[in-house]
Amino acid sequence: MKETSEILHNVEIALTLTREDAVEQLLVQVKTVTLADCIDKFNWQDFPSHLYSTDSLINRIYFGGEFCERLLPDKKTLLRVLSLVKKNRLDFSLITPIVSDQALVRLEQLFSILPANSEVIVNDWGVLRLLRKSYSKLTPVIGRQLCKMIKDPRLPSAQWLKLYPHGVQSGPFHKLLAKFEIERLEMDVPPFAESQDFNSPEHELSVHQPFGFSLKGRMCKIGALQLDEPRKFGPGHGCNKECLQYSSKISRGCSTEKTPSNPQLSSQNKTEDLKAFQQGNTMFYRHSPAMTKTLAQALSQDKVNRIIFEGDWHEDYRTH
Amino acid sequence: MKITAPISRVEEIQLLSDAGADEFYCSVVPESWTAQFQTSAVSRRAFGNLPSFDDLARAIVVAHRLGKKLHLVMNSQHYTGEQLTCLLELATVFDSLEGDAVIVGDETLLALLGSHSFNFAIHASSIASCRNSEAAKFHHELGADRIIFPRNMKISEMEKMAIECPELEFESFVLNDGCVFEEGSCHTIHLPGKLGGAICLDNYQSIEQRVDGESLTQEEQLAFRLNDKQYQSWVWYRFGNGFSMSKNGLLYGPCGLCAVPRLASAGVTSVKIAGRDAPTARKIKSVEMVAQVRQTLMKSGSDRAKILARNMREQPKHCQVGYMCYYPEVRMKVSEKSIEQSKSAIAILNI
Repeated sequence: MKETSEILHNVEIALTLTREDAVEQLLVQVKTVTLADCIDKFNWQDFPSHLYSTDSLINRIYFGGEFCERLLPDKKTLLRVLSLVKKNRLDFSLITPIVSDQALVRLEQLFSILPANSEVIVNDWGVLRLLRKSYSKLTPVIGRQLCKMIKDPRLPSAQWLKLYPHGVQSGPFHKLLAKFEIERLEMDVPPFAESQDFNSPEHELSVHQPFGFSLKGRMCKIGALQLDEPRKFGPGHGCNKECLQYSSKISRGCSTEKTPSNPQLSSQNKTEDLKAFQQGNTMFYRHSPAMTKTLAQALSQDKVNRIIFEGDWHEDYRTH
Repeated sequence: MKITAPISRVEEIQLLSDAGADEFYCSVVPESWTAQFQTSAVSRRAFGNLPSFDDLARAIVVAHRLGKKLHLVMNSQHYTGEQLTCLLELATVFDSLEGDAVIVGDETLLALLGSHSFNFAIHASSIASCRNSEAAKFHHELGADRIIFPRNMKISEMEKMAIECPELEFESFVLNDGCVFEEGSCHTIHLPGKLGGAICLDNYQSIEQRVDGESLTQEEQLAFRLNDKQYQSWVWYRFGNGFSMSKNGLLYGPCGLCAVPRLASAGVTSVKIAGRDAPTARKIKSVEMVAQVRQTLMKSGSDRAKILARNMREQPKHCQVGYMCYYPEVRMKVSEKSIEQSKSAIAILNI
């Protein structure tokens, strides 16, 4: 593997931000943004500085709502963010979730003000169709929600993944992407990841660090906090964006047997749950040290040429 | 409006047809698949699959003899290249048997099947998370003839899609299994019970914290405790009221019976009963319940159908809570006071 200072040498470094405040926090005061700035401002814990140089510069800002259409910015907010991004000479990607028709209308308003060649991270095939049909100057990137794979933080061993292998490397999948002239896709690091999980000879590959997502709901538990009981947990219910104010650390109680008798489970590979948290409607897991190392190897081997650091959408983020 | 029912044995077709079903769906795991991939994950079900191609062939013959249709499920979220090749062979067999439709959850498989000239129709599974008009058109262009709506949609959203995409058929869930999270965005495994089971039923405890670093106030702690209690209650309803039945022998579980009139007028082609691996008796009861509501709708109109739907289980309190509903907006009656209280927070469209 390459030296620490070399791993990110030819790698684009992107930073995902969901809050406008967080964009301001970072870009108003700082001229050139490094990973060290992000560690400081966004309270990143356990940064793998033995693998990645903290002096590395951020090249690109992702902004938007990846998992909930209610978190998509309005036009004015997006314009303010775009202005800051431009001032800092960074590239920009609008990140988008699975959407309703109502949110598609809002997305169109956002697409109309994006500068030519801006990227749009799509996690909904309908958004891809809309972009290809009406916004040919924007560049769609296939988001991690469309690169499906098992990412259960509880899996006791890698054996379980073999029962449900993913198809991100399959020829027909890449053929489908080629049909829509897709050049880049995004992935999470799955539990028990191996270097070969990041083989993507036909498309450029971006990978999220240090969290993967396991699942998301349309119903949002924390978003129901202030709703009257009959309105809670219904499809497309409203909210007061409580996910911007609170996060939840989650863990399993002791009822789960940790030493399963199932012979299918190799005791050699048996492991503890990945550390998990819930932010809004989505459950995330933190990469284990082994997963972090595997991703660094894939970067070293030039299998991945963009790493996307999660900025403010995690359990340790603090507004001040 | 058709009733689409699950089967796991050929014998169920006649019984469910007698109860009022019009279409059937099933899955089959070819021996070659199990031998090659050491898994039964053709269609996300380890159980409740037809055991062989012979059974599949018989199922098609029996359904057609009754003037009904048979659909084959291949709705895993993702497949490897080798698995896709195997599924293409399965589709070829199904086509030669003159099966009516395949249900597909993976867009790669959809594109692959759509690029062949099969005679069967293709239905995009709820797993495909197709919940806007552009997504419906995308799936149609790849080859889908019908969209099965995901569970967590408002009827107004379905209506809009049906209007925008007149070339497509649509199918909505009406009874039984519910997902806590979005089924197309859940990348976990229903583990054996001793390893935690389905993640939404696992013993997760949460500790909420403020992102400004302050401690939760007493008020906030109370609000979280209450919300958590209500959430547990909702999950209980999601899973068939703790997997129980009503005193008059009818099943609980997510239900859209009183929404049938609205779904019909929204242009929904069929309503789906979930539960391939459920006992036959449960499937029959389910079809009977939906068929009765449909019949009442046709004979006596929408109000009568809704009243029947809400009184069927003789447990109106469960309908009143709203947590048992696929489409709670149909049930809701909102007081002026509660609208005022939640004006800022709630989109009160649809009510």
